[in-house]
Amino acid sequence: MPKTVVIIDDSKFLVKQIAEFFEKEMGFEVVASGTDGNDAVDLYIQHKPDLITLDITMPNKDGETALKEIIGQDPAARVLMISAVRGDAMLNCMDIGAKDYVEKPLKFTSEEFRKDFKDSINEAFGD
Amino acid sequence: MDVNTIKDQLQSVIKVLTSVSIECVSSYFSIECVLKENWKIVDCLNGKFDYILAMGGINEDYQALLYLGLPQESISIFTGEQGLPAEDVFDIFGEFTNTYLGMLSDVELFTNNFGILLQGIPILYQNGQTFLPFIPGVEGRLHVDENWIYIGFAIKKA
Repeated sequence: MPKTVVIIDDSKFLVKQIAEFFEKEMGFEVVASGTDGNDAVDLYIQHKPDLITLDITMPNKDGETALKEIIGQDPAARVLMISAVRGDAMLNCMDIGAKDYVEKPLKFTSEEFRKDFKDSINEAFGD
Repeated sequence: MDVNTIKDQLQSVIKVLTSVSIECVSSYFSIECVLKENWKIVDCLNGKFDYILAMGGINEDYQALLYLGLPQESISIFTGEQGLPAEDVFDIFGEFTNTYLGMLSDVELFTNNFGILLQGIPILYQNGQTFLPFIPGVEGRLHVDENWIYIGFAIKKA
């Protein structure tokens, strides 16, 4: 049975790219996607995915707030932050409980990036 | 801090702004682009474009504006897609501006001058010209063959 993932980003353009990577490169099933932190929390509760990816800068509710709520509900949640935000945000998210933090731009045409991204995903499962 | 100090700071980071823009376009759109002319320091960003996308960047010390100017015919060249509706143009290029500001924060020379700028909310304008305040900035174009996008970065002390 494939692992399941929920993808959260306010850019549909990026959701499509990320989804394609998870499906074609990692063999995951993308069970849902959303565009803000409210979607993130709702879809996590609904689907209980093996992994959820979260952008930080999103309308309505940002990724850091959504992360806190998801971890609050399920301390074992596997959350992978994917964001262009630099600085303390990365450390804050890891402190809250994110498994890893991937910086945008997502260079899917780069072999090195694809390897690093796969490593981050596998790291989230303790592999 | 006077305008000339900001201009000096912009002069010191102009190569960062151009190199990051090239890397961002290359990574984000998977397309090679070039500078055909040097970017300039200006007293005020300006221009009339089919699409204008603006995003603010802010921290305790500075307020910045990142400004993309897009001619209609360039959109399909950069995105690889024909006939995109405005909503998708906004999605794609809004995320580009978000990523670009983030990438600037990776460069020590930039953060030494202006710190880490937190991204604001992008806004898309269509078929018009925006009138911007007199805030010094850097502006220029990136080209893919004869097609181009305009990038402007303006900043002031908070």
